[in-house]
Amino acid sequence: MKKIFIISAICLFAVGALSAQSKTSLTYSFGFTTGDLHDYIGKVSFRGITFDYRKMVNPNIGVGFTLGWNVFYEAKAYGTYTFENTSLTGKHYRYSNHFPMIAAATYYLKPEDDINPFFGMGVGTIYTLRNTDVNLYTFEQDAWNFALVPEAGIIYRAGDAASITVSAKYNQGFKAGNELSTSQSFVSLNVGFAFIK
Amino acid sequence: MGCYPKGPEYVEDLDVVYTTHDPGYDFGSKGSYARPDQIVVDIKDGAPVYMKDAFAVPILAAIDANMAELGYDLVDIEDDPDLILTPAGITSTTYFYSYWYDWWYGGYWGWYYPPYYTISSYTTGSMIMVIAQADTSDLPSDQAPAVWIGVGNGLVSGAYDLSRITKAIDQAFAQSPYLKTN
Repeated sequence: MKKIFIISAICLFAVGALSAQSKTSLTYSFGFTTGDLHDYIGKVSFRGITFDYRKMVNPNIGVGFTLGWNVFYEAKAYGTYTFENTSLTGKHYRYSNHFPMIAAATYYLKPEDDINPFFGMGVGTIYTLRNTDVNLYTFEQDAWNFALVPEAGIIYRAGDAASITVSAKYNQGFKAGNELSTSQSFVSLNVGFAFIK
Repeated sequence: MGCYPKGPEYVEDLDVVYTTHDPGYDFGSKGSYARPDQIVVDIKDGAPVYMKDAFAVPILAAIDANMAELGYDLVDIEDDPDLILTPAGITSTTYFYSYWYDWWYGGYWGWYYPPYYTISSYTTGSMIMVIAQADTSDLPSDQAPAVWIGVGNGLVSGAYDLSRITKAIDQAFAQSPYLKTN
């Protein structure tokens, strides 16, 4: 069994090496909160960055990883925030940082065309760091959320090596831990450059 | 980081009312409280400095009105109150408050900070109210833990704004419904 696994891994690597292609993209990421996260911060985030790498195992399929950072922020009106046996009333400054770390596979529909639609699925974790600031106090909560990240988008070939990519990802972070017991999910719209080797 | 979102921009944005309590304490079985007639704002040369009556009287009235609303009777310290409520304003130092309490109560009794609250949370300009149990006979020492602490930050420094302080007092009680007596 172990031998089969090793041989399969070598074959997979060899196929990837033979095709000698990879797609690397760096995108500016807008964020739209959903579900419980939307209840905490409703505003759209214009602060985010995503790095994607896909090793092409054949012309249509790429496997790799996604790393990202999205930060959501909203200043809430005067309100009461209760945390265990403590209540704070004041103006809230809410920050929610999300760091997706995802293993992903992507299927490219038309790898030879200038406009190449794709879709994919990622599995991994999103590290969530939430700060609620009121006056000089901050309530800090964090969680490592198991995450599923479906994605769809297009790559537009703008030149020999550089392309423009636009994609939407649904970052579904499932409930995890004790501090942040709610799911942490958001949609990200990613626009940037892809480099194809 | 330059692109990281901003926080508060104006000092009023920092106004906050903080309350914390002992979740295991049964306030419902209590019915009376005593408090000092004055509000201390500092200790100088071992003697307390009091808030002027023009401010202290309406502040104490606001506290009493809220306690009455919750069902408590204000009694004299000699009349075996269930609870002791001590208000103070912190204008310059952060550590005088426990001395003030000892001074008021004869120095043989006091309260200590509960484990869920740290003194560093006090900032200059805070209006603070502490409720402690008066009867210490079933406690291991003559010091009782504070069972409720209410703090209004940023209210006492500089020019006193009475309406801001009384609003903060009302809010401190409003966000502490567990104080209600049966």
